[in-house]
Amino acid sequence: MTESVHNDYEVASEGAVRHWEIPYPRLTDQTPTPTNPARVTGLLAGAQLQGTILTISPGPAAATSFAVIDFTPSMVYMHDVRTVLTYAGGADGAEASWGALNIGDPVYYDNSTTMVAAGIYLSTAPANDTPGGVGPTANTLFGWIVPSPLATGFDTNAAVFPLAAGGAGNTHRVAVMQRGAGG
Amino acid sequence: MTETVHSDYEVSSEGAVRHWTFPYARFHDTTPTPTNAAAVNGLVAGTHIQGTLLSIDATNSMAILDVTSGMVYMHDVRNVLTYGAGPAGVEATMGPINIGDPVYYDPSTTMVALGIYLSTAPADNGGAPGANVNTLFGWVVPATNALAGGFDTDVARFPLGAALVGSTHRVAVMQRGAGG
Repeated sequence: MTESVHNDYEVASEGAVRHWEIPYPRLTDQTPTPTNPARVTGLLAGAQLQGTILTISPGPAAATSFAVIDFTPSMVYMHDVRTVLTYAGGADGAEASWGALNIGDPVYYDNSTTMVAAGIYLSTAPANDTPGGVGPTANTLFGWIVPSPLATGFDTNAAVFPLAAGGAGNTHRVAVMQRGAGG
Repeated sequence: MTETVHSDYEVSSEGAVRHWTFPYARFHDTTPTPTNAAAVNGLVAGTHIQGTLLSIDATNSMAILDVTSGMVYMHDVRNVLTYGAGPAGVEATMGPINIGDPVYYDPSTTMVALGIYLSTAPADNGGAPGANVNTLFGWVVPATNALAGGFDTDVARFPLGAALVGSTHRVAVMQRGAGG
C-alpha cells in the first residue's frame, strides 16, 4: 500500500456533541427552521445524515446560507411525529394506514408531499409516498420515541402512551432520541 | 427469560469519545497507518465496526482506533460508485462527491492498490456487482479550514470530481463510529 500519514487529518474537536454547519442547498428542506429535524441530501435513499436544526444563518443567496445542525447520536429533542405507517401506491399517494405511537417506535424523516404540506418532517412510515412520482422511496431512520421529563406529577410522560393513531391520522409532539451521525 | 443483572456490566468509562485498542490481526488492513480509516473484521458484511486510526504499537501489533460516533476527520475518498463483475472488477461508474454523500470502507483491490480506504461505492469489486456490501463509514461534511479563502468552511469547492472520471479527494467525513 502507498498510504501516508495525513498532516491535516482532524477537523472536529473531541466532545460529547457534534454541531455542524450545512449549506441550504444540501438540505432536503431548503428553508430550514430551527428546532425542526433536517436531512442532508445524499446519494443513497435510506442512508442520509440527519439531525436537529439549532440555528440558521440566511445569506444573500442559498449557496451562502447555512444551518447549524446537531448530529449528536442519542440527543433527545421534542419533535412532531405523524402516525402514518403506509401510503397508497403511485406518485404523491395519500396516507393509507396509521398506527398508535408508543415508546420505542422508530421514526423516519419522511419527505412525502402530504408531510411537506403539513409542515411535518417525522413519521412512522419507513417509505414515503413517492413525491412527484420520483423514486426511490425509502425513508431514513431518524430515531426512536422515548419518554420525556414531565413538569408535574410523575417524572416522565410515560403514562400518555400509546398516543392515538386517529381515523385519518394524527400528529403528536413527543421526545425523539435521534440517531444522528451514529448510524 | 432468565436474565440477571450483571455485576460486571461496564467496561468503558462514560465519556464523549471512545478510543479502543484492536490487534492488527483483526483489521481488514493488517498494516494500519495512523490518520487513516480502519475496519475491524466481523461475521456479517456491512456491519463492521469502523473508525479512524490514532496510533499504532508495532511492537505488540496493536492499534488505537477512534470509534467515536460523530467525530469528523479528513479522509481521502474515491468517487467510484460501482464496479464491474469480480473478482477484482474494474471501476465501472463514478460520480461527483457532495456534502451529505455516504462514504463506505471499501476493500476493493483497486482501492488497496491506491492505498485508499473510503469510497462512495456501497459494494466492493470482489464478486458480482452489488454482491459484497461495504459498511457505511460516515458522511461527507464541510470542513472548517482555510481552503475556502476567507469563508469559514470549504463548501464552495463542492461538488468534487467528474461523473465519468475516477478521482480521489481529501474531504471531511463525519464518521458513524460505534453508533451503528
